Formats: sequence, C-alpha cells, structure tokens
Amino acid sequence: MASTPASTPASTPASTVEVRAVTVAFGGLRALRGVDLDIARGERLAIIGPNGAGKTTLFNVIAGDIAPTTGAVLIRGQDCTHLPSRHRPRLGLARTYQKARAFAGLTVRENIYLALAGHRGRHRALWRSSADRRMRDEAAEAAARVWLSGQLDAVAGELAHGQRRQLELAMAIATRPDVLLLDEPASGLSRGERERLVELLESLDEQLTLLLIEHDMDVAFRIAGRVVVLADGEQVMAGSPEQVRADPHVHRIYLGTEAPA
Amino acid sequence: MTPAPSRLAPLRRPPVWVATVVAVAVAAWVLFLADGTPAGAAVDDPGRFLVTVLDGITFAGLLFVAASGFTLIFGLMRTVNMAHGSLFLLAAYVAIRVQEAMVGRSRNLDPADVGVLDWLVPLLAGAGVAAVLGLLIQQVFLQWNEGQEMRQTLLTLAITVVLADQMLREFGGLAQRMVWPGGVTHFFSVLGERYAVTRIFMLAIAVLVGVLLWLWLNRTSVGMVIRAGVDDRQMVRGLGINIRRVFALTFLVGSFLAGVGGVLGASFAGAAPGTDGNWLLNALVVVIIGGLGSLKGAAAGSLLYGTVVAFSPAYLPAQYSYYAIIMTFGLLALVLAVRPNGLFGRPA
Repeated sequence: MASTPASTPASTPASTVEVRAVTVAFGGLRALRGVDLDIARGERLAIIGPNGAGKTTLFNVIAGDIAPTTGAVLIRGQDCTHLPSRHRPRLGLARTYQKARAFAGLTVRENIYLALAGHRGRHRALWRSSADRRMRDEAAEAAARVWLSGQLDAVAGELAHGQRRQLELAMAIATRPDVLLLDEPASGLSRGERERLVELLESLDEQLTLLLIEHDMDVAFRIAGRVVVLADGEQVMAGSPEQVRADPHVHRIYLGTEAPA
Repeated sequence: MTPAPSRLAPLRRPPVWVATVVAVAVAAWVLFLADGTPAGAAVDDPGRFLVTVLDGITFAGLLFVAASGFTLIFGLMRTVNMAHGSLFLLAAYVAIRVQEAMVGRSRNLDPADVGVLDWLVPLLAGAGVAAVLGLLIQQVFLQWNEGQEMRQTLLTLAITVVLADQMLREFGGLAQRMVWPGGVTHFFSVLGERYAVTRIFMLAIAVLVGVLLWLWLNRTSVGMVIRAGVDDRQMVRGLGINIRRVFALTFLVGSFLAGVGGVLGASFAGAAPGTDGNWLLNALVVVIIGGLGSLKGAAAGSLLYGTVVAFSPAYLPAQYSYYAIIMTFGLLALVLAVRPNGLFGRPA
C-alpha cells in the first residue's frame, strides 16, 4: 500500500477522540490544513513528522490550548472545539508538554497533588491541608509507577532531566485519564531511561487511549499500533508501524533517506 | 575557565567583594569608630545600639506587612500594583474613622480610652475595605488585561491618582493618627534606655502575619496552586485548575495585607496625603532588594531596609545625618550589583 490519502471515517461512538477537518492558521502561516483523525478507545497512536509539521499544534488543539481556525474536535462524542483547556481534564484528558514543565518550586508530591486537585476541583478547599489520605495514596502510587518513590519530597527543580519527565508522566497518569497525550516523552532521555519509558507505556491500562508525538522512531514504533505521518500541516499517510517504516514516500519526506533495503 | 571549586567561583565576582568589604567596614564603623555620631560607637553605648537594632527590626515588621501583599500579587500575576499605596492609605483613613466612632470622640483620643477591640475592629474594617476595593480593581480593570503588564501598571497608576484626590476630598489634608490600644502604650527599659511596647506589638503583628501567610502558602491547597502559578500559569490551567479564581483571591489577600500595613502605619506614624506614594515606594524598594514575588525575599528585604533606615541617622557623623536617606539607595545599588534579581528573586 502506497501513501494513503487522509480519509474521513464516519464518526462512531467507539471513537474517543475525533478531529474533523481541523485547520489552524497563525496569521498567514497555516500550521494545520484540514486534518482528520479518528482515534478509537484503547488505541495507541503515534504522530510523527518533520519539525514544523504541525504535530504539537494538533496536540494543542486536542488539549484545548489552541482553538482551531476551522474544524471541530470531539472527545467521547462531545463537541469541545471551543471548550477551554482547563475543563478538559475533567473529560478524562491529560497531557505532557514538549519541554518538561513540572513546577520547579514544588516537591514531587505537590506536583502530583496539583494534577489530582485540578482533575477534581479540589483546590477550592481554602483552609484545609493540601491533601487527604486518598490523595496521598494516589500520589505515592503514581510516583511509584514512574520510579520516583524515593524522590517524593524532592523539589522538582532539583531533579535530573529524566526524572522531571518521569514526574510529568506521573502527573498525567495520576488522574487516571481516558486519553493521554504525550509530546515527545523520550526526548533528552538516556538509553536506559527510554527502555523504562517504553516499559511504562506498555504497562498502561488497555482501555487508555494514547496519543504520542515522538521523534525517536524506535520508541514510537514499539508503542504505537497505528502511526500517522504529518508534513506541512497535512496528514501524509497513516498505517501500521510496519507499513510506515516500509513506505518510501515517508522515508523521503521525513527520514530524508531512501527506504532501507 | 578552570574547573576549580565551583562553590567559590561566584565569590570572585568583584561586586561580592565590594559588598563584603562594605559590610565589614560598616560593622567596624558602628562598633568601634563611630565617635561624633548621634549614637556614638556601639562599644561605648550598647544601650543606644540595641535601641537602634530594635528600631530597625520593628520598622522592618511594618515594611514586611506592606510589601508582602505587593510581592504576593506580583509573584502570581506579574501585575505591578501601583495602587498598593492607595489601598494602604485608604485602610488607614477608614480605620481612623471607625476608631473615632467606636471611642466616641473625633480628636485627641487618649490611649487609655482605647481598648484592644477599639483598635482591632478598625484594623479589620480598614483592611476589609482595602481588600474589597482591591478585588474590585482586579475584577473590573485588570482581569481583562492579563499578561499585559504595561496596561495593568498604567491602569493601577490611574486609579492611584483618582483615589488620592477622592481621599483628599473625603478625609482632608491634615495628618491623622490611629491610636494604639492603651494596653500596649507603655515603655520598658533595656540597658538603661526606654523603649515603646507599641513598636514590639507592631513587630509581633508582623510576625503573626508572616507566619499565617507562610502557613497559607505552604500548607493549603490554594497556597500550593499559588506557588505553582508563580512557576507556570499556563500549566496550572492545563491541569484543569480555575486559576482566575485564584488570581481574584490573591488580589483580595494582597490588598487586605496592604490594608493591615496601612492601619499599622497609621498607628505608628500617622496618615496624610502623600503617605500612599511613600509606602508604594517603600514596598517597591523592599521587594526589589528581596526579589519580586518572593515572600522570603520580602522578609529579608524588609530587615535590610529597616536596618539601614534605623542605623543611618544614628551612626552617620552628626553633620551628615541629613544625608541618611541616601544610604537607602546605596543599599539598593549594592544589592542589585551583587544579585540583579534581588536576594531571592528569579529571572522573570
């Protein structure tokens, strides 16, 4: 199968995230030109493409940080094209950012508390102490899943880069999201840390829908069941990791080389 | 660059040496050499020295209360609230009026007639008015201009001008004074010097404010959100937290603190037109020394500034004490030379 043109499947209730004909223009620059995506519940989808292809913009649209110029975004069948980002965690959406953005002045524990609090609207409790027993347990559990149990009281700003990324993952999975958006989770990680990341992502709940932007093809192809290739704001092809890996067109535009023999 | 001991490396910077030399020289001057100054060398007159130290610390308490709200608001919202001084003065005037109404006399109140409640209730009333007005300013004018620092600064500056005129109309141009409760209007003696209990009382309130503020920021959920917001507001939003509500609350608390400062200031030194500008300037100097947005910085900045304000008139040679005010700016220049973001500041 050669590069498949983007198709628009009919929306089914099984889709967790639907992106319909989304266009984003920043002034004259069109970062996305009519992207359609239909992501099923429990799917592992990797989005790859060269720099400037619009991968992060697509994430921002799904997460609500950017409103699309035209088009629509549906999460679990609900149109939330113009729903502000702060309401989306309650729809079961969690994301990480391309650059580690855990709160540097807070401890690991507090960072995870915040993710939990935002998920549940807990921060309104003005005078109560910052966490109850349940929150404490959930934070400890999330930290344990990313191997940060020993660093719960460490200040995030003093963690190593890899550990900060792990912390961001812990913040994202602590809320038990239905949809998890990870923006280059492997960037800046050592070889060993990447292995652990893959191990962690493979251990996630099967019902969880995972969207991944990744430059590390090895990580992306191992995790993803489907790979979408973006270039210049358009979907160039979509298919299984094997199909994408073998596609000469993808090699030309993205990997910059011919297909391996 | 040599890979030599990196912890020593910053010390090689000339400003640090200059600051160290200045500190040592000042200490030597105050302790041994300061003959012919109003206070005299500390070894000759330890009583006077202790009184000057107490003056510095107690004044620092007032500075801290006035600056903490300012730095809280700036830290979270990056808003330089130029109306902070106006809220300070407004709270002072309101508290004076309420106190007069409670005691039942409008001039020359005798401290003996002023009970603790006659001071505390006006304090809460004045600070409450400042808090509500601050919240209104934030809701009506500032929240639409989030992230536009210049607009916010100009807006609050305009509000300052309007408020100053309205307060002149309403409260007149004469200096007025809040009266300390009779219970603390005493003196005690240290090393042969008399010292006012009211100043210690003022310091105690400042410490209480500082402790409560610290507990609020470090032990409650909202405090955690505020500290996170200081790091990265957009990320807080992305986590699903309604940070606008937290902004409003922070403005309310920051303005309340301005009001508490105003009432303390009015009890300590009176309230008059111009007090607003002076205290905006005081708060600014403190947070620039301490680092904008840092509570620890506000405390350290207050102590340094308060100490310099107390020591310069006492320990400059008698014929130069007129120039004491300049020492403040010397301190500012020195701190900024060593730490351009203030003692505990982080680059914006």
